[in-house]
Amino acid sequence: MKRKAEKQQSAAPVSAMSAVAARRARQQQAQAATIVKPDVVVEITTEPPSKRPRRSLEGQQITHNCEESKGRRTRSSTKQEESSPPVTRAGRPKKTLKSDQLESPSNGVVEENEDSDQEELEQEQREDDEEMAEDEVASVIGDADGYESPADTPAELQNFPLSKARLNKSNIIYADDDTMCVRIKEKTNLALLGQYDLWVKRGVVSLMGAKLHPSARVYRVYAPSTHSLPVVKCVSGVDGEAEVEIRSCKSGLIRLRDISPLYQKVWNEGNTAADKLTLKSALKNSRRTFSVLYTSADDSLKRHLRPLHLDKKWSASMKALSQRHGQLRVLVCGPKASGKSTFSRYLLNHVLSPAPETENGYINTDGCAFLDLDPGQPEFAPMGQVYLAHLRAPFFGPPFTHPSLDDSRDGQILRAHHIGATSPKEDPDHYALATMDLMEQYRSLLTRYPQCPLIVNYPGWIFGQGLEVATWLIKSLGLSDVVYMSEKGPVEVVEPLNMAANEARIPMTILPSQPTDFVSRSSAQLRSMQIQSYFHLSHPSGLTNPLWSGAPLSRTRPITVDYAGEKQGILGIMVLGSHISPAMLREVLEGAIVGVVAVESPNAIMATATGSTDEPVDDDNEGDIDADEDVEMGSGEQQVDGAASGSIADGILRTPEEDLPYLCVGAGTSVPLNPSASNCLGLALIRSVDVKSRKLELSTPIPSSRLHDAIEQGHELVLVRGQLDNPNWAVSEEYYSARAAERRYQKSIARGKKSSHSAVGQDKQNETLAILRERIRRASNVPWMTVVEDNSRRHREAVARREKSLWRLRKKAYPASESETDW
Amino acid sequence: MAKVTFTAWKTKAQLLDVRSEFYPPAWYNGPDMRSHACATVEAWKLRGNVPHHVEATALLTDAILHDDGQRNSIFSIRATYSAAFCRFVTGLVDTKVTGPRRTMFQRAMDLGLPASFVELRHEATHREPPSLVVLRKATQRSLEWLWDNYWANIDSDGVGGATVPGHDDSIPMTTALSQVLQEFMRGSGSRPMQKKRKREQEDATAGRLLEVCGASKDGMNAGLAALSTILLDSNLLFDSERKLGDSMDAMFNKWDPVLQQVAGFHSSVLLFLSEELVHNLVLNAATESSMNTQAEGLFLWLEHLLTAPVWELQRPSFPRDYILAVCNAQSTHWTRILAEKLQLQQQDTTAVMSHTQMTASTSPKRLAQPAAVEIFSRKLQEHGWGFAEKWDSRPLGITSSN
Repeated sequence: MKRKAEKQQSAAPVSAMSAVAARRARQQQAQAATIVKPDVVVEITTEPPSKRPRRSLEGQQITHNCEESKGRRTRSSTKQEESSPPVTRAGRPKKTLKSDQLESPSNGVVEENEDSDQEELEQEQREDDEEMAEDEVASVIGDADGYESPADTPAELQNFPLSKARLNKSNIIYADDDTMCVRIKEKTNLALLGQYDLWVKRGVVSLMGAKLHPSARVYRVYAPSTHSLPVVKCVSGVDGEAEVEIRSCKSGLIRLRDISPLYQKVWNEGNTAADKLTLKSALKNSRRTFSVLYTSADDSLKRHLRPLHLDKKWSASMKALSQRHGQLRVLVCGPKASGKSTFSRYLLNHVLSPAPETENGYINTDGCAFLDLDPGQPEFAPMGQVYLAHLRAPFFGPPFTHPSLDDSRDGQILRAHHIGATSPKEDPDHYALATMDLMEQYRSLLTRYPQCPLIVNYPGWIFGQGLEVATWLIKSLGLSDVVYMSEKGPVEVVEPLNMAANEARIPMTILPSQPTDFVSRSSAQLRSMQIQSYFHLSHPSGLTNPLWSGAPLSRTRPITVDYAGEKQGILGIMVLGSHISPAMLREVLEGAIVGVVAVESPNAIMATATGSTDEPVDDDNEGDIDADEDVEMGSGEQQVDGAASGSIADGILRTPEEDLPYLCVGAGTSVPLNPSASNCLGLALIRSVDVKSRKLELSTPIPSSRLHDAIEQGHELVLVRGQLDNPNWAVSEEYYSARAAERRYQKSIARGKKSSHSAVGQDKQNETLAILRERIRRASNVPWMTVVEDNSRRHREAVARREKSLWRLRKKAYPASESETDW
Repeated sequence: MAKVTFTAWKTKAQLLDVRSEFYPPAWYNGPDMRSHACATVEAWKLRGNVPHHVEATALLTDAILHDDGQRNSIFSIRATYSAAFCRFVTGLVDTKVTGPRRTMFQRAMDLGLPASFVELRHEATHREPPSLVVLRKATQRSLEWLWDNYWANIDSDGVGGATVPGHDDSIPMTTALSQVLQEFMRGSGSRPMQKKRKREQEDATAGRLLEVCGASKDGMNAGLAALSTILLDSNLLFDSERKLGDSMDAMFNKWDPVLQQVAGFHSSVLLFLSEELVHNLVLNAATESSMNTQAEGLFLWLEHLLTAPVWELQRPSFPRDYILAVCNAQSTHWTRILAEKLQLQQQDTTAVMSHTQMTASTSPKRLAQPAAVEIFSRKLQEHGWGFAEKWDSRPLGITSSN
């Protein structure tokens, strides 16, 4: 079966590929294909699909590097979730109508009980969490992506070593209830779970690829259990030791667990033995936002925790690549789940490591450019976008801890294009154009920062068209290196890539893929976590680190924009893919995620239809781009503005009932915006269409200054409705939040009983509970969601099974996985 | 154990609409809405979470609509039928199954899918597209199969998956209601139940009561009114062995959860119930005596509804003025006390109201909400950007105007 699919793919490679890319790629591709094809069939029979059997060989070894570990699913023995300051937040969430009467009683209870016995509290919480965990898992069932499948808990080492260093009196310099300063011996390391600020005081440590020298700078590190744990390793020390201070931090990210089950059991839990050692007896009960783990058995939730040690080949390659300094232009590609993004992240951190002047004379002052071409799991943006980012400092954490860059001093997104899908295969032409445009941006960035290296992260789409695009990129981007993240081929992919690299005279490095075989979140789940994080993140001015809000979106004030009338704030609404009946536009918009795109010139819409056949690829249109960016803004604004509305007006159709401006160009399927004249500002969630006042109600984390700038420059705003994952997370936020509020209150009552000074009367408690239950009831009765009490044995068993399971990565390097769902 | 599912349709009603567009009832003679239904499903697909049965129905219907020999070539008609039919069968049989490998035929059997469908699918994918006669017939049968296996069952349960035994239409509503109530009484008998079991039972009872009331020919309110009447007429709200002066708490505890669940969906139940209570209290001559157990019971229920904190939320729908009027008109021992209580409470609430208003206006949360002016520049506001002016927390997909 598989082989058949294989043959078909390689036999008929060229289809709707970008005219641009195709023209380039086709001839060479054809040659390559003919040469390669003979081996294809033979190879497959001998070689098993990528590296599935890996873990049977290496599972027992400590090489388990990167990538995620197991989350809540192993909760065989449990403790309460999270080190939780929010216990105190019990009665908070009902800001609604009745809130005022309620606020005082609940807070009273909570305040009162804060100092009650922690142990008891944990008991209580354990029970409550049990209950929650059940339905949280249920709601998540069944969104496996093509290459992952639910797996039962592997009978693996429960006692997986995480840290080499051991803390004792002599290496703990000082410690209090949220800080810990320790010395780490050279070549040993410390694994921490949770969130913390790291300050290197003496010696040099490495962390997630970055080499950190002593400096005044404090780095924020996010180490959730969903990904492999970063380890703080002493590379070289003073007297053989490095000294680091680790401090608890509050980012608000923990609070997201109230609104999404996916964010539950993600952070550190209780105090480990090592934590207790560093906490003086008086502080035994205090909770830091991080925990030191010696082995995975230290985790009270018994999660699938793995440390992130670098494979030797990885670090050697990173070192070699970073030797190129400002000349580095590397494309990282490989099959799905092979560790491309992990490697890219590490390489990026490595390149961005602030080396002290003395080390080798090279100082990276120009930062590093990151061209992220993976719309399925972007590093610094929510799904559906490809973008060019300019980064100045390393980032420590998985993507959901930095879902956007807000022009902070550490990095900014220079330009982004909304692909509107989690896979480029929906419209490879548009994807290729977007890539070319971003490369142009990089070139113009080079004029300002001549020593700025480039890392290109390519998606795991390396079959058929994906391979064509990849080979074409290798040939046309002017790279310095190609990294392929799998030692197991497949040959029909590696060979063409190799040939393309040869042709472009650039070296291709083949690295082993990441050794992880199990993850606790599927890629669809990670996407959901990331986009939720994106919508709850803010970058308050004056703070170095971002903050997250745990309030459900439905409880935040909507932003409105007129879609018709004098003050019409958006030019139109575009639906990618097949045209839909205009009468359905509202149906498709409400409760959906759209890209907010600034259209820079009228060509953005019309030119794509005709213009894509000539070459936006060629270097010679650099001038055009610059013109778009610089010249027009200054002088021709008004003109552009007028022209835009003039020519685009033809493409705009008013929907019969709502008067929505439906922008649809093209025959049968809509032509996307031309990347060379458009820039995606970010995503918005359309909450509803208010037909009466002709307004859209939305939520968006896009800073209003960006919208302002776009309008100021005479750009028009277009909302692009693509095929991104449905925001189920947004629909259910209020429900989970209501559940969390009730659970908390129950806990506080229980605690009140135990500590026997119940300040609030039974009646008052019941009243509060009734209000909280009412809130749950209301929250479970919302559009697009149904909450059913399901007590059938089958459901229970399914849930129980899921709880213990992980996602097994098939790491399939075969197109069969692509044909199904997404990747 | 709550199970959260997401649907492509906003409300269940939307799905039912689409059903009647796909499968118009026999008496329907309006315009053909099938293409509208197809467009709707198409739009839903963009959102995801569309059950395969719904999608398949749309595809098959679309193929039928495409079957027009005058305008389309025979090949394209056959191809459309084949494609729709193959997707229908493959999608059903292919749903990712964990467990032992099984053949397509075996899985089809499990699903109750005719074996001929699998055969035809095989033919359509691997050989010539079957003849139009065969395809038309198969499409028709598929749509019937889909009706029987999906569409026919969607009324009763939450999502449109498993079926819940519905109540029998032939029984009059009152009988159905008493059945449910009697069952509840029996179930919650004397022996103490596990908390969880109890809650489940209460949920189920409330759900069934709502269902029966909703099915009433004269609308929900008629159903709820009937429910209130039955509750009182069958003396379900009182313990028959109760003596004068005994506490009613056991009865309150028993009924409150169920009644509240019902009231949560339709607060008018409180209106009907309290009216019924007060009518019984006033209109029955025997209840005038201050020593009548029955009268005391009625009074205690009214007082409970009026003052218990658990009913706080629904209290706005309590017909205060009406009851006060009735009490004043028919002065007995019990109505006098009730009237006093009502008047007292009224004074209290006005005090509380003004108090909450005061606190609300100074609530720091309101102040924290930055004015639109500060966030959106003048330019942006001129371009129609701003914050919603009137805003209360409401779920996605709900506008202020509806």
